[in-house]
Amino acid sequence: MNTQTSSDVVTAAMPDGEIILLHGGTRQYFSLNETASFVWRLLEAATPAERIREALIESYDITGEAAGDALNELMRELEAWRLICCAETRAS
Amino acid sequence: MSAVNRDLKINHPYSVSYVLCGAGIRLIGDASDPLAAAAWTIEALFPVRFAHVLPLPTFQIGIHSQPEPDVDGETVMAVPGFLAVRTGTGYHLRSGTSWLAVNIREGFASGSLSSCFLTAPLEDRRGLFLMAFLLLFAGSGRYALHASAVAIGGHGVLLAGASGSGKTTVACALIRAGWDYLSDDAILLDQCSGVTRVSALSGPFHLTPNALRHFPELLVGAFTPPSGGKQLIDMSTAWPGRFIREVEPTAILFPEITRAESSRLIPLRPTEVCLGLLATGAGLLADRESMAGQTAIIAELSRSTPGYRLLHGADAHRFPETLADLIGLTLGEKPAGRTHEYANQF
Repeated sequence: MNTQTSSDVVTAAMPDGEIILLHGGTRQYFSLNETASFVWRLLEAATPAERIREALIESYDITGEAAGDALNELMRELEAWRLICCAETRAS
Repeated sequence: MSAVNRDLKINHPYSVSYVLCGAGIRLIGDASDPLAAAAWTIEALFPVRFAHVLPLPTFQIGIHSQPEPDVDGETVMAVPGFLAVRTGTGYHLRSGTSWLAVNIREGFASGSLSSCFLTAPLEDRRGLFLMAFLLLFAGSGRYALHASAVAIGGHGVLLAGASGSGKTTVACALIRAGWDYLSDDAILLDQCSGVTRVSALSGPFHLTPNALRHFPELLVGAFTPPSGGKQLIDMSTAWPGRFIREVEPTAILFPEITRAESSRLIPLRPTEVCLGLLATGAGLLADRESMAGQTAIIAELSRSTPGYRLLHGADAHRFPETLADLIGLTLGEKPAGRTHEYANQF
């Protein structure tokens, strides 16, 4: 099952590449840094976790292990704030 | 009250019509006394003007003698004396034993005002109508911010931040230095052809006793008694001819009170501006469509308008022209020929 962005979340893109998220249920605001914004855009496009990991490797010149760790950590944060759902799938 | 009476004779038996922020407000009722009291409250607290021709959208507010219905929904705001519940058709607002049911999609509110409400201090009556207006405007794509707004030379400056951050003090300092004003705590945002404009949604200023000590000239405009809390001030009495209804914002400032002598400005990134505005402008709107609309317009404002932290010092009220020059520089306004040293040059 792919990870999905929560339907309760409203987004706004800022000129510095960051994305602002508003969770309608909790009414909390968040700003995503450049990397998290990069991942968020892919999540919005329903990109599988493995493909996101590959995109991180390509775009940020990091190892597969580092990309997987960073992605898993980010997914846990997003999940904890209820910004994504159905996050059973983890990057390897 | 004369305008109410005039309307009672000319138009509907019990109705009053206004324009507020470019929208029509039609107040109707089934009894003249509650309607007149509601009308007086609205006229005192909001920058309305009487109208016989109402623009679209026009919102209708019905004041009737009717029992409060059972309310089922999500409580989105609960503070002492005030409750807001999101219902299937909109929001149910309750202030004491008075209430208004707001139907956002249809653009009307209807409810009942108790005798206690109609004799309560003016400020205590504000929340019910302010929230009703805020919600009705949100239904037409216009969103409120908890911010002050002042202007000079067609340039608008928003002062945003939490209560106690000094928005009103800075606004009063700038007005004393010759600027115009819109509002000290509630403005309305809307976008047209990619341009964001702000309108005054609140009438009188709210000054603490401490702030009034710095601006004693405003006491002539006080129309509520000092009670230890904030006093409502009719700014047009002290500074006539300086009220403007709308302006295009050119800068957004987030005031913070400091102990420094000189004020200074620190540029903010658009993301910081956006988060700062969202923190002051959101809260009540609970439906996704409204939240998305509000977030979009605030994000666009943040992208297009430079924002700054304003660390305002003692010069804010002692040398208002210094503060005015400092802020004016961010707008491209030339200092008014003075030779102050600014804490931060742009």
